[in-house]
Amino acid sequence: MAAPATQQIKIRCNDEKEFTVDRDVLERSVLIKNMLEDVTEQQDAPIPLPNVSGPVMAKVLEYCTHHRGEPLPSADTEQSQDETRKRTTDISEWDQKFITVDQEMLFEIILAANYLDIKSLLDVGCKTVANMIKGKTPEEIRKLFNIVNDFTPEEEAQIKKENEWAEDR
Amino acid sequence: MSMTAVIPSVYDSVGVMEEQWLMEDWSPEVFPFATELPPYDALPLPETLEDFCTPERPIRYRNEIALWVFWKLRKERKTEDAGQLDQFFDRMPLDIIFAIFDFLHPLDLYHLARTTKSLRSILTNRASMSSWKNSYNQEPSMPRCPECVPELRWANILFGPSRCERCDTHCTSTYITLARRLCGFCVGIETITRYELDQIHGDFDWSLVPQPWVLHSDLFSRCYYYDRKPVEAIANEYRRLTDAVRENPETQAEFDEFVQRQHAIGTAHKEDTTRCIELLEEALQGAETENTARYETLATQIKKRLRSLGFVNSDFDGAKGNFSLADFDCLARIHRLTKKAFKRTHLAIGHYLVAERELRKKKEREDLVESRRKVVDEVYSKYREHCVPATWAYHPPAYTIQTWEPFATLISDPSDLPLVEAKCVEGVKSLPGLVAEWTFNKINQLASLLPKFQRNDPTSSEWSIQDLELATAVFHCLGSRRSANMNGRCLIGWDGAGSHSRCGALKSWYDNRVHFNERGYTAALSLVEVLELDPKKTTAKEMDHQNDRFLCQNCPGPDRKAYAWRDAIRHYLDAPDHGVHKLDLPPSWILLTPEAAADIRRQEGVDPHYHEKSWCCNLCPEHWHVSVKRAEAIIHHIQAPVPNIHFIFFNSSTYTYQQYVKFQEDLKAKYRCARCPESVRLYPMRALLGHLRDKHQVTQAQAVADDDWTEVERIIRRTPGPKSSQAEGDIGDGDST
Repeated sequence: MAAPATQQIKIRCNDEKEFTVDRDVLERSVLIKNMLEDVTEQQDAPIPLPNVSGPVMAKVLEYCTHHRGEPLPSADTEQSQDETRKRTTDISEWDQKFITVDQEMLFEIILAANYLDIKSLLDVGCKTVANMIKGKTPEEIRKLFNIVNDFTPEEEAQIKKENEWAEDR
Repeated sequence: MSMTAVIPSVYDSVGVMEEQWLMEDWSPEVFPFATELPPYDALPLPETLEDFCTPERPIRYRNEIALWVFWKLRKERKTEDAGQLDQFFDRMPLDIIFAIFDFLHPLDLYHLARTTKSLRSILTNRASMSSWKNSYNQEPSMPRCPECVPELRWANILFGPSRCERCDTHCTSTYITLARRLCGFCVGIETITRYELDQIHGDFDWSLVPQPWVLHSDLFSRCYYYDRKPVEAIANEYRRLTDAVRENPETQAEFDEFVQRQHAIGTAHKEDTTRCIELLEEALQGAETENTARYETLATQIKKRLRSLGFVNSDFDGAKGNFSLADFDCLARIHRLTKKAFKRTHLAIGHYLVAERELRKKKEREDLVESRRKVVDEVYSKYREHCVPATWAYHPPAYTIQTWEPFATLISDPSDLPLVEAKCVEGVKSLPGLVAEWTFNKINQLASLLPKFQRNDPTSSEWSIQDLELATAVFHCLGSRRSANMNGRCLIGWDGAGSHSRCGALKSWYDNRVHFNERGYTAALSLVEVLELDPKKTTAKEMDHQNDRFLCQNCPGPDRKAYAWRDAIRHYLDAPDHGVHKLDLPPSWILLTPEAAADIRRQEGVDPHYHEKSWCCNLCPEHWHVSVKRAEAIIHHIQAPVPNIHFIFFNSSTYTYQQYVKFQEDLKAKYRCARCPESVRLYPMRALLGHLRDKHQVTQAQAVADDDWTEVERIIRRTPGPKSSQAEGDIGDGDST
């Protein structure tokens, strides 16, 4: 049974912060949408979201509000897209501005999108990270992720050569 | 028997757990010839893009496809601060990591696999297979990974360094079909050739095996190297089925099914390979196009910066042909001209440029000095123009003037300023004195060249200027001889040698001067002697005045040519060159009587120099620029113009020979008409009688000796020696009829 478009839904984050949001906005999240569909009667109790903090939820809701009304990808189309679509890393201008956040918030948005099952938001986060990796040398990627090269000393010697070459640019 | 069981899996024996998952998806029907693969981690390191571009690595071993792809990605990237995604991989679940991989280019995945062992492990795990596939799928410009080839290996084929997987040496041969990169030596070890298979299996149907291809640098070609195990398995199956059909014809269906299946595999393989080659060729073409455009841009930028450092275009053009960036390996490694890149470039090509700049400056200096010399030449030319024309030929050459002060200082002035005529005023004022001094020195130098025995006073150690006036003072210009300047081969006295000092050939001759001509001296001496004159006193003017004619006894008779004394010397010098007589023959002459000489001069006609454009007026500089014929040189309405006073003759570089008259020895023409006192003509007796009859109406019977005709002697004497007797025999004493 479809709920009225103006229905207000309460959600509670892990820091006890509560949001009251239009149902169609919240339904951008497949997780919440399924929850709402499972509940037949209207409840006043907020939906608990133990894996999302208030500030992150605010950002997620900002995204969902902006994209409300856009068609959600069905499971079938998503499956077919996975195999055939050309995965462009282009991000729309609004999304680009939206995702321009600090590292911690980026991580949290990606994790929240994954938890709430908001495919489009997860794609934006993944594309952002992919764009950071794109066109980098192994050494530059290590610097980006602050990871340590754990190859053997012989391999390390070769990587020094790579750095030498990289200075040409 | 199932066909899939024909080919054993290579991974069974290798036992590489990391790639174990591939076994299940391995489809030999689709791609059966790339199975003999060693584990990926057994490949030599490095296998990164960067290895192509290390300074030690020659450019020709670069993987252009990898570079092209890399720079395309590089253009699209955004600069991010290091450490921005700290602990990302620790905090993110694997499915998000794979989701990110989905958006990456295969080259990025290849680079990720090079960062840490854990990421390498993820990317070689079966779970990442879909990420790899998505990655290849989203890049239609890259050939897709064959199903039986690990994605990372395929990435290594596309983006890996041009190193042999087996021995780690540089190599540019990528065996597309085998998905391996092997050098010429290792490919023979790692694979089996068609020849070897033929030796083992005899008449094998090669249409059952797809055609392998190899990429050498940027050129695809067929090859005949195969993976040993799968091909041998097919060959064994082929042989087994052939034997079975021979023994039991009912198995023909199985054989046909086998052949049909292998052909289907071959067709699929051919399509895959063709597509793969097309894509790689496009990538190579794209790389070449971009390289060309990038080189041009770089060249423009580099030249602009070099110009700001004081270099000019000619420095680049001369440095390496047309300053082709492709000639400089260091430039080929630059994608964007940063300060650092320019610094490295400047270091690499700097010595070429500096050398070129030095050459340019040297050339500019030479041009400046040359332009100053021309100014001095012009100034000197104007000075000479206003001298007496008779002295023009005896002036020092311009290159001598350039060495005199103050002209030498003006020419070699270290400034970059050109020379103007106004600065030469002082030099011009000093020219008369300098020229006179030079002339005096030159005369003394010539006189000093004469041998002692030739001088007036052989006992004196000092030479005399008067020695140059002797008929035997013969010089020659060795430079003229080499440059075929005929006039310089015989220069007599100061008149000849002095007027020859401006000869261009002397400038390049090692000592810039004429030399005493001993052969010419010998010839002149013998001429003077045959005249019974004193060689130590007889001057050239006296010989000219006598104007005698001589026959050369060395020449074969009977029709010898009669020469004036200067021409006789020239004949003696030139005759060996013309093959007339030998070089070692001493000069030997026959002196003609004045009557015979007069008859010869009559036959010679007008002096040929009269018609040469080598004359000019001696009273004005009218003919300074262009000499004229003798008649045209007399321009001041002088009633009786005198040569060398009113007009003069210049010797040109090409000597005009006199039309020499042959002395008709056998005609015995020795009679002169007594009734024609003005006539110098000599007749044979028969012709004389005809002349008397026709002109003077004197018949043969009426003709009387002494009254009507006189008999003249034609020869006075000859040079004594071996030739004399022969000459006597050649020349008769005349017809006494």
